[in-house]
Amino acid sequence: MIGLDRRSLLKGLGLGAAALTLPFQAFARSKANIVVIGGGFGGASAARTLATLLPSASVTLVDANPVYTACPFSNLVLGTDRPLSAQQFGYDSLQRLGVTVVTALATDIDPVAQTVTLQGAEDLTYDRLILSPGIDMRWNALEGYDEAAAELLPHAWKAGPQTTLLRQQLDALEDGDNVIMSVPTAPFRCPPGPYERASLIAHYLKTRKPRSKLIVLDAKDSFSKMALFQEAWSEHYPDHLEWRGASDDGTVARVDAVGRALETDFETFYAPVINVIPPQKTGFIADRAGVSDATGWCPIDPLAFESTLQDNIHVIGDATIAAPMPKSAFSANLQAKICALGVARLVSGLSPEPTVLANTCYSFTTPDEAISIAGVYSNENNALKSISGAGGVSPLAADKTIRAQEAAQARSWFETITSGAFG
Amino acid sequence: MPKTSLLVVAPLFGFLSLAGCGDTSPSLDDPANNTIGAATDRATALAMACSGCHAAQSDAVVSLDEYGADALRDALRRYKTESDGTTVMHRLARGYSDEDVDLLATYFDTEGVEP
Ligand SMILES: Cc1cc2nc3c(=O)[nH]c(=O)nc-3n(C[C@H](O)[C@H](O)[C@H](O)COP(=O)(O)OP(=O)(O)OC[C@H]3O[C@@H](n4cnc5c(N)ncnc54)[C@H](O)[C@@H]3O)c2cc1C
Repeated sequence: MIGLDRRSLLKGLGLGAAALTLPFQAFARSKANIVVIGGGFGGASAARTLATLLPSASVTLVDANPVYTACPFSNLVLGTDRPLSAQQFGYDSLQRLGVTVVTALATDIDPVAQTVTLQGAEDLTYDRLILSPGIDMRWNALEGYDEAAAELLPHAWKAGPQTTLLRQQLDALEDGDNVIMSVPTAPFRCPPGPYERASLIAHYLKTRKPRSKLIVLDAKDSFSKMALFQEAWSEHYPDHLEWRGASDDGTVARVDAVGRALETDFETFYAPVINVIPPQKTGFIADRAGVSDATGWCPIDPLAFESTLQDNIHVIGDATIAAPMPKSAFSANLQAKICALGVARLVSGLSPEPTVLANTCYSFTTPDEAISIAGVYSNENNALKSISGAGGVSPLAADKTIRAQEAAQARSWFETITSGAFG
Repeated sequence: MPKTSLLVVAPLFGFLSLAGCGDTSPSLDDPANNTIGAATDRATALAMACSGCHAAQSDAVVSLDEYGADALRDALRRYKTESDGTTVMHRLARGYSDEDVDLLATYFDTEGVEP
């Protein structure tokens, strides 16, 4: 009997349509009222897991948009023929599972009254609130880079119109003109993401604008999977990619959007196409809820991802302080599922239990080759900690077939994680 | 009998972990909450990391759904102990105890649980 229950949970988490007809009635009949804000990799997965575990509970998912545009693989939209539509997902399957989906911007949260204010929709009340709002840009933290500047020099660090804008600018680039990218210090969404993007923009230039080159100005001296990326760059893009770290005057101090220029301490770089990846913080709604701290991110107890600052609010995904777990879609999805298990236990009078979490992130170095980083984490004793002896990156100087295999694994991962979240 | 014992082991772990926090949970008498305890037990939580990649069969990644407990346990133990292994699975498996490998193997075993 219990085997059946667990199987139906597994099935309900994206393992096939037949699963939805399996019997859920054996699960607890909690009538809890749970609201999830943010329908990305974290929020959509949390809503799905809760609706499966607690079929009698009320689960409401709020997102500002009716269609979600995924960031993973969006660097392939920039550098190859992958269409943006391959990044887009709706919430129909969550609705079929019984989740109430509300398309509205959440503008305020009262953590004492336990209410959520929505723009253009009725306020919500909650017993438990799960926030997965992702990131917002820290406008002007990099001098001269504000919302208006992003319309000229796109960040494309939230996928959607920004991704399209950057691709259009690349398409309009004259062969022989350069592209510049600015990368901030940690923490930011997807630590290896800028370097995957650099690889795929370099691939685009090599194949379509062979006299052009990408210059990466980095505020750091080292980065995720650095040796592997540099190995790939010297093999594939010796003439199309130049990376400058902080100690080589790579830190961008000021942006002149109208003049299309980035200034470092000693130099000014001009280019027709400039991609600024700005400093980031938690989505603003977490600030309104009072769950973010002076770092701009949200401290949590990783057992069930409960806020350490407000009762009955959980935070998952990029918004959290979860290092050593990276701000990745894989992490957001797993944190969502562990959080949902914890919430199901809490509303049923049980306490959350410690477990083992993991992360795997693939990065493409060419359209057909990828490298990976993995980590395994314990969430005991109020802290996420890497389990020593586990994790690490792909081998250096590996055979081409290993890079091709990891590219195939990456494509398989994207299918699985998006169907796990969005059905 | 050996086959069905694989199915019985996992629920036992679920109830053992429940017993651990039973004193502080008055609503444990409610059978519905016993069910939630089992549906949210350690094996279920551990398996959630696997389902990020292994929900469906593809040409690059195997489905764990039809793997079989013995084969999965052997594969995970091999990944864990092959010290020169460099695949993602080698790097991940090194983070799991033998007990957790057993829980996962049993969890994903589906023999006899088809509705
Ligand atoms: C270029 C790039 C490549 C990446 N590649 C990978 C990769 O290969 N692998 C990987 O694991 N990760 C990757 N990532 C990281 C991944 O995209 C994020 O870690 C992931 O999206 C985090 O999920 P989340 O749920 O925290 O936030 P999001 O996915 O951003 O979801 C947040 C959602 O909340 C909604 N929202 C926010 N505030 C409100 C509000 N007030 N009211 C209503 N709705 C609101 C937003 O509309 C959004 O839909 C990449 C990121 C980038 C930028």
